[in-house]
Amino acid sequence: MNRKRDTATVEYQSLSQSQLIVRRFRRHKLAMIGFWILVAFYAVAIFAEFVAPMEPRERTGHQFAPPQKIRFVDLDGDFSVRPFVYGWRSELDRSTFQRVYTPDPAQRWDIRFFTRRHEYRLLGIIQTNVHLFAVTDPGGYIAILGTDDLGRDLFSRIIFASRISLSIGLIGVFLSLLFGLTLGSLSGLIGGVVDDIIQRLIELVMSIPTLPLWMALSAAIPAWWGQTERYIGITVILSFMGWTGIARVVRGKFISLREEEFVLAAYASGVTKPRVVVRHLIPAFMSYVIVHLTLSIPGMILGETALSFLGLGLRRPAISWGVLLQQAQSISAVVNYPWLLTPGLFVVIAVLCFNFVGDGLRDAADPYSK
Amino acid sequence: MREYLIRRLLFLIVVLLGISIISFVVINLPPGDFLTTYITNLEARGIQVDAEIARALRTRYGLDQPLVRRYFTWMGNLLRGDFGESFVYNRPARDVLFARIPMTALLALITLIFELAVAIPIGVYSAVKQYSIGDYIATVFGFIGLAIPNFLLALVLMFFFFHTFGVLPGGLFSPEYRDAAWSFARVMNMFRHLWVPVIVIGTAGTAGTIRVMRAMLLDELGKDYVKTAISKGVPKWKVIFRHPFRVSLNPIISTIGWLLPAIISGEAIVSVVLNLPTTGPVMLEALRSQDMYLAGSFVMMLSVLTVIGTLVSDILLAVIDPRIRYESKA
Amino acid sequence: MACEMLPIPTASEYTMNSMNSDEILKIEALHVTFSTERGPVRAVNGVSLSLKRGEVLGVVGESGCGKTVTGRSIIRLLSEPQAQTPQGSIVYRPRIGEPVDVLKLEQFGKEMCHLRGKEIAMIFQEPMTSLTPVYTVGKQIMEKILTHADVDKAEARAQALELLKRVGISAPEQRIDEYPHQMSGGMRQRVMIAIALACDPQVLIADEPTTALDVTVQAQILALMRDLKSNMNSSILLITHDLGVIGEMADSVAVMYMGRVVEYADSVTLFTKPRHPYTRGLFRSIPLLTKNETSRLEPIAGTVPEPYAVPSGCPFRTRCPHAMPVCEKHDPPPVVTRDGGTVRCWLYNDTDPEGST
Ligand SMILES: Nc1ncnc2c1ncn2[C@@H]1O[C@H](COP(=O)(O)OP(=O)(O)O)[C@@H](O)[C@H]1O
Ligand SMILES: [Mg+2]
Repeated sequence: MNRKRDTATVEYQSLSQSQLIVRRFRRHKLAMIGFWILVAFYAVAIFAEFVAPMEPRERTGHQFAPPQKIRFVDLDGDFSVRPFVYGWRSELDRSTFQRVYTPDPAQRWDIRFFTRRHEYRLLGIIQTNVHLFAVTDPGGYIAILGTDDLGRDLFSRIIFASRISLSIGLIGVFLSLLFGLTLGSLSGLIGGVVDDIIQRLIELVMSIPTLPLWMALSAAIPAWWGQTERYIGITVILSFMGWTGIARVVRGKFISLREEEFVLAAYASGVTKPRVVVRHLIPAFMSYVIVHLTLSIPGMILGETALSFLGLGLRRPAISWGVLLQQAQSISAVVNYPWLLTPGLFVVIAVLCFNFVGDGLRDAADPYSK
Repeated sequence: MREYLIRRLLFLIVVLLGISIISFVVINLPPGDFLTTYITNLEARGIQVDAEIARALRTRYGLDQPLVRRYFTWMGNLLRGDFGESFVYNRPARDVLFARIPMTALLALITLIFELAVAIPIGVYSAVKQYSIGDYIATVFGFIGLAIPNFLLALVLMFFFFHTFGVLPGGLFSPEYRDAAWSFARVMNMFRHLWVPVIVIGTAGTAGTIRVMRAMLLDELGKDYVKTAISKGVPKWKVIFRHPFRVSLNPIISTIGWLLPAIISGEAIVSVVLNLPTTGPVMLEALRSQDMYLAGSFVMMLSVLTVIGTLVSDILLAVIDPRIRYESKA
Repeated sequence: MACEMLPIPTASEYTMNSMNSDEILKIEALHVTFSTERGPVRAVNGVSLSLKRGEVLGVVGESGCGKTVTGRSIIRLLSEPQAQTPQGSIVYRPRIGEPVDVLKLEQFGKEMCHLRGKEIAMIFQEPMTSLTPVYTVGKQIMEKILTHADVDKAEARAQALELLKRVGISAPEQRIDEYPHQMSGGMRQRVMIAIALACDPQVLIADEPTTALDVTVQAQILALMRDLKSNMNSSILLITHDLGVIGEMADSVAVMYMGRVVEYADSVTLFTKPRHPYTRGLFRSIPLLTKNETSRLEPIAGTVPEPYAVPSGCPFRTRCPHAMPVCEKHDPPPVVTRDGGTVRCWLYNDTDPEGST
């Protein structure tokens, strides 16, 4: 009976504690903005087929075409309520051998919202052809952020790329959590030699510059691995360096909580060890772990982007923001086709938002540590 | 102090061993042993490899031995200065390595100094004038600096540079100095090119250090000993610099432990974009062509560089912080 | 109609004019307000005090009544954006020159930095955290000497050594090169006192100098302060919540409650004839060494009201056993007692607060 009451109290405490955290988090303006932008990002990733106006591998026929302007006024100066785009007319400049694109008034396509275009399966199940916005003309195309080397719409590709880029951070962090939780709790619970060895291992991993090792490890991924295996491999490699921070947090918390009253009380009332760990210790430091995880997602996203940019991470035909940025690797490409850098903007926004949310969570979880 | 040094050096040996194991794993990770790749590669270029030479190479690297034995053979070679053979360059890996490592070390050191020199004053200002406009600007810069991938920053910078000046800021030397021997003019030429990579690599670390500096100093500013110092009649800025700033310098110096790996990481990718004569481009090339002895040696030397840098910062920390110095004595 | 405009005296001019020549520090109507998330906190709400040359003035009151804030205001030690500049006047009479109102000075201006330390020194409650961890204690004493006196380092070190001896630190030649973390709390408080005594200040503000220490160490530090008091000519503002300390040290006493002085008297009078119900409550709630232990301790009823919601009228009425209807409406003004002290309580006031004038 006594035991039952004890756990009930702890549950009550941790509940009101998390409610407190939520309340404090809500007051953090930047964190809330970041949170809602991230929600929007993930929603777009899930419903990519609906949001993207083109298919990711659909070609417009115009390579490296600059972004189309969304127009309300046509070239003759007439206004229309419905927005539209002009198709491109391209010529080869005889002196520079560059393609020069000019809007072609003969190809004028209206942009319609919730309109029908190519078929797809929403969430992989619902067969539909409704799109958030698109040009419905069968020969028409829309590329508001320009096109890539194969003439594909960069905007649609960025939307599809967010699936890999945003999920790799989450999955990578989850793997880090598994490694870190296991090693950290071993270290904190057993102590002694095990603790020493794990501590030295952590210091070793932390002192190695991440990117060179990531590069080396991903270069070792066999070339014949398929897209999915490669994705998993890269995620594992990224989480290989990320677990150390979590292990440290977990270990530190274990050691300090071991001495705290409510744990001692639980021991005294006869609760067995694993039960103490699961019921009392883990809820007590979960907030710290969540904060730490949120703040390590950006590192994973940046890592994937860097590796793929260098051609060592994911490769075409896979689409991630890093893969898209590969096109901007040569300086002449950046100078001639600056819109190829736009996937980077999405990386920056996602990372910023995760940092905002992480900072907000940290302040909310522990208002006294800045 | 002496005991502290000995303990740190012992730990250094453990870390170096760990690094060597990881590098060895990297070398052996690709499927098939490297000699097969090597020979295939040579034959693809139309060079016939003598079976006798192949066998000699096989014994030199102990490729016919079990993995653990092979590690010790490799370590033995390493200690004698034999880093293995780079088949892309068709030269000893050591030669390729040492042509590039010093430049990386120099760039890393300059970037580190740049980061600290920029971040510490801004962090101090931000903390002392908390919630001022300058503080907000520094905070915004801190967030963005941490969020922007450095290679992207390099690309964006190049784009604007080209649009404003019509030239590209790549490399560390003007063409006429690229392969020239070292001279005063060449050094000056290098410093004129250096600011682009230093800013690009250093932005993230600067942003991070500003945040650490600000938080640390804010923490210290509220402490009782600051009141004591003020009550002695010492002027405001002298109080700040002699007392809370001096105390918060310790954690700042210990951040070198994570600034340095980040700089070396950043250098690896930024040098590819900016085409610098440092380790990055060669290492990437080695990895792409599975030139594993060269690649593994790079991973190892970059790690060693970091670890030694961290050691130096730790010793520096012990020198300036009496608490560490004496605790290890007790 | 040539009407001459007479300049209206400002608060500090008024204080200066009313200052006796034996008064070295005079605080009039000091107000300090903190702006906090929950609203303004009136930490000090009209404190008036005067410290005479060579006197030890004790300030007592429960924790949170504004003693520390009052003490810190004198050397402008509050972080001023949050605490705003204290209102009222704090006039100090320096060794040479005219009296100055420290609240009129710039917080980190030259004059204020000269007053701080050289003329008015302060000892803090927490010796464990009041010394900078990265410097030797010798350096920390020397810093003050070098700031104010035109001496070289060797001379400053000799003076620091002398000070360490004076505050009773054994083996000072060795201790002078030690770091704070190598010393005990009592030892650090002695160092703090040494720092305060450097440059021979005229006024010493001691904010609970013994509270954080063990009982035996407390006695040693008090003995040291008593010694110093008899050997030097400076005045001490001794802040404490411990009436025992007051009894041992103070010549006169100010009792504070909720940011104001409710009773002021010389030490003997206060201990033999406490007037204010709050003072009497304090005596009943604290075991005094002079009293026999048979009388039972009675804590003062109720708790200190929230600083955000100060009661109307007399702030003590919510806990006062003698509360009358008038206490609720009107704040009692200070009344001069027969013994030359003052008390703020309607029990001792015969005037009619409702009556005109
Ligand atoms: N920095 C501050 N911010 C807000 N309130 C403060 C601050 N410092 C003191 N106070 C408030 O001022 C009142 C008096 O504090 P203090 O002078 O420290 O009391 P004492 O020294 O008598 O114990 C308290 O109610 C306290 O809450
Ligand atoms: Mg106090």
